[in-house]
Amino acid sequence: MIYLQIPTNTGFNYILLFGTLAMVSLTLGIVFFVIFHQRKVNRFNAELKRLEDEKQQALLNASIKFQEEERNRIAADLHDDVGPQLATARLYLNENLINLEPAAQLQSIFSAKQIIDDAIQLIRNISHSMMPPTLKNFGLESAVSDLFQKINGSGTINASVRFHDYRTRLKLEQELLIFRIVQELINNIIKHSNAGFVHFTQNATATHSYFRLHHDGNGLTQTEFDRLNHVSTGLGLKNITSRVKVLNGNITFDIDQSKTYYKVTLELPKESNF
Amino acid sequence: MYVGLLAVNIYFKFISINPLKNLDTKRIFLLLEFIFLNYYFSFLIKNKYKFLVSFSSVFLFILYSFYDYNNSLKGTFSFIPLVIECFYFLLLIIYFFYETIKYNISKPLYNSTSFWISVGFLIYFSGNFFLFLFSSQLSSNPQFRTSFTLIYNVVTIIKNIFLCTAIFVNASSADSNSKIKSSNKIDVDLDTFNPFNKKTNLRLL
Repeated sequence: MIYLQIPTNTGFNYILLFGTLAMVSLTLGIVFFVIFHQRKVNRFNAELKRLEDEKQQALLNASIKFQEEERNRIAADLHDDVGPQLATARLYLNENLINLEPAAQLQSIFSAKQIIDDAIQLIRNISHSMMPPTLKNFGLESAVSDLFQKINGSGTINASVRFHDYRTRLKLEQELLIFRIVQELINNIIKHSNAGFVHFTQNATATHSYFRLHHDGNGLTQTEFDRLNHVSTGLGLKNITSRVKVLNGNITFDIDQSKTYYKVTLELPKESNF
Repeated sequence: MYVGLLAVNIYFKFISINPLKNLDTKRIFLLLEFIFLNYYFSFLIKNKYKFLVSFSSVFLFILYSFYDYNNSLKGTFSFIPLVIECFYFLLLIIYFFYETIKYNISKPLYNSTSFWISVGFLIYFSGNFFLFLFSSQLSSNPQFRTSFTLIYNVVTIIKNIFLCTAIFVNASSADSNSKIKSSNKIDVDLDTFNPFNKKTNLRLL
């Protein structure tokens, strides 16, 4: 009823009414914007979390699969190599040995000893593939140098190593992870890149350690690495990513400006909560 | 807080009969409203300078109110402090929303009491801003007085609806929180849980 009493012919009342309506609309606009923006951000965060979870799951699966493959390999090595050798040695040392001529006995014992020595060597090789003795006893620098020396010895690729600042050794577990990453990268370079040379350098600042591989073959850029890491069914790149994650580090793949060689840089914090 | 303000409002609307005294009570109400709302929003805002801004604004507002009281004509109510209050709280509430966007919270905004209270006051202050700005015409222009009464009452009703919504939201969130707390009380220690030992299990539950 009050509304009917308002005179509609005065401009001032219109200005007042529309001004008030405009102010209220503006504030309501702000309120709706805030609500929708928050919903949008929450949706985005949920999507991001889902992708992160998926990635974590993929890394976990890769790591489990890798462990299983490693176990299978060790089991196969033990079953196919060590098992038959020990069975053969047992054949030489059977109960009939005492009924044989002394010369034949000696020959059997010698053969059995030879086979057992081979089995010991095989077990040692398996053990070394799990934890290289050079790495354990002399550290990452020696282990990487040893690896590169072996690659160089093959004559197909020119490999060199340079440690600039590695006065204090990292923890053995960290060194092993770095060594495995380098092994995987080298393996990929040899298999896929057709590189003529590969050079490994190490350097450090007050807070970080840097490990870099240069090669002149067909390498990966960061985008390709990320894509293959998600798409590829292979375990190599996923293992690299999971190991880098364990080290709280960062790995980057890029190509030099002159487009002549590729660089892979592993950046690790010195004060890692490893 | 708002109950106190409501009591002051009821007092000067229905109990205080002297119109001049009524105007003085309105000024006191305005000061109390400014102080209480400022206090409330300074707790909602996360900015590190919030208390400095809050105290200085209250101090300046009181100072200006006294200045305005001494300089305005006797028997008239100056609306300039009201306009200042409107403008100040509009900015403060918009800043609060800005902070809400910036420090994103996982809980939906409309599930919090502070949001509904802020929306209520935002509409109240934005709706009344033009009214207070042109309030010098209140005594001379009867048409304006009608519009003033209409708009002011509508905006106040809307504000009160939002404040009621805040109370309901608060009640429902308190209810869901208590449900979560009661569900958390079931603490089964899996290390010592034995399916064949009923006594131990009962003690654990």
